[in-house]
Amino acid sequence: MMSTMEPKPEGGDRETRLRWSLGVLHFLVIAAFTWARIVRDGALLSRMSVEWVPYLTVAVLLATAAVTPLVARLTRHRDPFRAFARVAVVTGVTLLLWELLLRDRSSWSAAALYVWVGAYGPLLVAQFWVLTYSALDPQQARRHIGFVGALGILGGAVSGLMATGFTASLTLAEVLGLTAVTHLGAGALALGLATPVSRAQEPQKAPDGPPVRALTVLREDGYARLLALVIVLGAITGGIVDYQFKFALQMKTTDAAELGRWLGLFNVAVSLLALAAQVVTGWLLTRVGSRVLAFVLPGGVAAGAAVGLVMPAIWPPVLTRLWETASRHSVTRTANEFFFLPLQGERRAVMKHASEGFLTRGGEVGASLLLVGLATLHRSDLWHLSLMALCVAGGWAVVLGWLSQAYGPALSRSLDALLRPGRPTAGRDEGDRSLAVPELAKMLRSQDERHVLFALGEMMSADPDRARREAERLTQHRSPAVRARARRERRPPRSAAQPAGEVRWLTAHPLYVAMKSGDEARARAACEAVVASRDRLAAPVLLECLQGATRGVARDTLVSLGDVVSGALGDALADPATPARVRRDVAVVLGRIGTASAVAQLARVGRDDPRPLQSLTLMGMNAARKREIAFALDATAVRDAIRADILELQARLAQRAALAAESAGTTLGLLPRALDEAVAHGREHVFRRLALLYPAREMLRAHRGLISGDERIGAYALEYLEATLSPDDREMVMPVLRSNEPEVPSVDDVLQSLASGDDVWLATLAVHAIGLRRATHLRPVVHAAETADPTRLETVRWALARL
Amino acid sequence: MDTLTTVEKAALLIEVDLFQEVPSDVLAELAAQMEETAHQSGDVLNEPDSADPRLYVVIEGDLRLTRGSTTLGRLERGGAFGLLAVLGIGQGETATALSACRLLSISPEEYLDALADSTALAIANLRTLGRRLQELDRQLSEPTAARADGADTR
Repeated sequence: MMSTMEPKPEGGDRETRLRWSLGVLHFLVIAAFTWARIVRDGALLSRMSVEWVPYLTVAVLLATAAVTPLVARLTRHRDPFRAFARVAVVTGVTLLLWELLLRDRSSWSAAALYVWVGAYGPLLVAQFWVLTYSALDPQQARRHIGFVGALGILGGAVSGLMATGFTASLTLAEVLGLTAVTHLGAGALALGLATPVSRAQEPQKAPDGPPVRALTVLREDGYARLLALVIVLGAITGGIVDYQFKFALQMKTTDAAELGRWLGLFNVAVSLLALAAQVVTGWLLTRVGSRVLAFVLPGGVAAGAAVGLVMPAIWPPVLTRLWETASRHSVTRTANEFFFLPLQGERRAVMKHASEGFLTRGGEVGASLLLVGLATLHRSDLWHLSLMALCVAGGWAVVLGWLSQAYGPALSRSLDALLRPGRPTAGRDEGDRSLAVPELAKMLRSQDERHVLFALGEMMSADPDRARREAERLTQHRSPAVRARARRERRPPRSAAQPAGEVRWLTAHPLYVAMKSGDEARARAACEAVVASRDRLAAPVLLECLQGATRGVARDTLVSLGDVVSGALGDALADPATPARVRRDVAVVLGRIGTASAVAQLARVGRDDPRPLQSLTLMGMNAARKREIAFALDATAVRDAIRADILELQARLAQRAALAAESAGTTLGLLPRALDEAVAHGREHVFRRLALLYPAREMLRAHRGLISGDERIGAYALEYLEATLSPDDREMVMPVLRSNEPEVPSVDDVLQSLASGDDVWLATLAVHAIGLRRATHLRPVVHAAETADPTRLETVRWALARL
Repeated sequence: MDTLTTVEKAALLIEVDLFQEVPSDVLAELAAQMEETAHQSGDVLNEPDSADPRLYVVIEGDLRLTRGSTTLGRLERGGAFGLLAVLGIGQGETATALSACRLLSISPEEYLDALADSTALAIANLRTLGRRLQELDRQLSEPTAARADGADTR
């Protein structure tokens, strides 16, 4: 049962409480951080030259390196609300001390405050987001993160506005005291929320063993490395843009009160812009996805820098910084948070801290080095700063593109880890598979003929073209067995279907006689002879033997014959006159042959064919896709089939809902159960077809996630789909996976529709239900349901007798 | 008494623990292969080393399962026996009708064909056998409790 499709009334109240709690907390955090930054920048620019900023950035890095382990110690093995509370209270207390220090108006106290705010501030914000993402699953995040972000931005606007007013009556030091009090308030609030929210969320048990370190994550996980690179480049860009802004601001004034007023207004403008952006973030997320939204920031910075190149004045840097800060606190913050989703549990928390800690600080130091280099070259003017910002933002956008491509697969691996905790993720396996063909090629050089035969056989499955090229060389091999095999394998694959034709000769065929002799040894010997001679005329005989005691041998022999018989098997598969059981066997055999031509035959089964047969053919094609076998596929036809599957799935969901509302369930017989099965099959078919268009392993994993019954895993699966599907496919598929309120028809309508439908089994059960209920008004439907299917016919007669 | 239709047989099979997780359309195919028979009280079915082993499902009536002189348990509607026999493992139990009863049964060849046809059926069988192994293991580790519960080694 897919949990995402069920209504969750109780969850709704809990979610609303959680949404507001997180929103208010975010408001306080951002308000406090905004005041701290206004005080920090105001104090610095009024007491020191802006040229000190690059050096102070290095000091911020060192301070962050010292503070990060302390924060990790404060937060490890605690639920995220309590961890946040501890960090907020501790930093609040330190700010009270800074308030005293700042009163002496010395340069060093301004510099020290600059370093301290730069070190603790982002870590506190990061701890808030760790808390938020531990409390929300990806789908809840989509619903609520915009609201939570908006309240944070509102906190920034309100605090900026208040700071503008305060600077007329309060000193910067006194504003810092207010910041400290806000920290303490946020800590108290988080502590108050800790018990109810944590209990509701049932956080994962803290892992035993040594703590996960960011460097370990970076060493082991390529996705994390790419993410780190994006963060670093973002920080470098931010550092340069920030310096440009401060450079321009100090060109305008160095008066502390004036700077405080300016910075206050700037923060209000940032917050209003961010708020406006945040309002549309939810809509943009739904329309274009997080991966596209992430480009808003580097794109805007690059555009601003380009304007700065054309017009090297004060306003381009200010506006660029305005854009950079506003989008970093709204759209980009929201979009970037999704990039952390593929990292699970402690690894995510560690990477979040690293992101706000040494990665961002490291990036800022990188920016400082660039700025110092520019100053050394006497090029630290607005034009050169714009050029540098343009180059770095361009690099950032490129790496962001790589990260976007890696996001879907990484999310899928994460889903795999959730589905199979304790097992290694699929990434390693996939890597191994990519090495398979080269390794097989090495085995073909072995002195042992068994190795060569094995490798050639395996290579025929994995890379038939390469295998045929290798086979050309092996026709000169010293071993007769290898030479014979190589001669067979280098023949081009036979794609033309061999008509089964009249089989009057069939029962006289030696193979048939041997198969039906009842002597297993004789049957096997005959099959081996057929395989050795690659006799394609054996196909109809073997198809005839796909039953009873000879079934297994016949199937194995057909598989061994491989492409020689795939055309004939395709004909049998596509022929509705072939017995259903034989068609299913043929689908399995073609899937086991697994060559491109054999798999292509599977595509001959259409949506009109029986559902179990469709399942088997889709499984065969999915298996081939997982083995990276390239076979001909009409993507348009697949999408048409998905569309039809979805329409049918919607109908089944509505029918199921109608029967669920029926109180007298016993008068419906097996029908409700069969409808449940049809819904499950329909959904599986959608995913199996999607697996023909998108990475198969990941798509099937998403299906497993959706049906796992675990809401959190299901949410990850939906997030993977959101991130991976093209907009058209997303629009086609997602509504039916999310919808939980289908239009419910009447039970009579359902019975009538099913009894006259194409699904033979559901039609049979609908007729049975009509008979059970003695629904005489539906008698015409039962009459019309007469078919050749024996079970349906039997049921029609039974029902008519009761009506 | 009327014989069961295929749909009714499938509905009965769903009550059997062996088939509870099997899709209904697969059960319908299996049901179509099953033969319905009536037996009198005292009839003996599925003796050890029977030349015609079959998998049986009780439609109505009571049966007693014995091994030698030991009674292993009773079977009522929805009870099944003979799985190991149709899987070719052999079976040491004897089933005796305690009252007039009706049964569904299937031959090993047809059952194995159905298993080869449906992964779901094969998995359901594996799960059932796994559960029985677990139960046996539990009984071996708690012999007193097992005697009190009455063993089920079908």
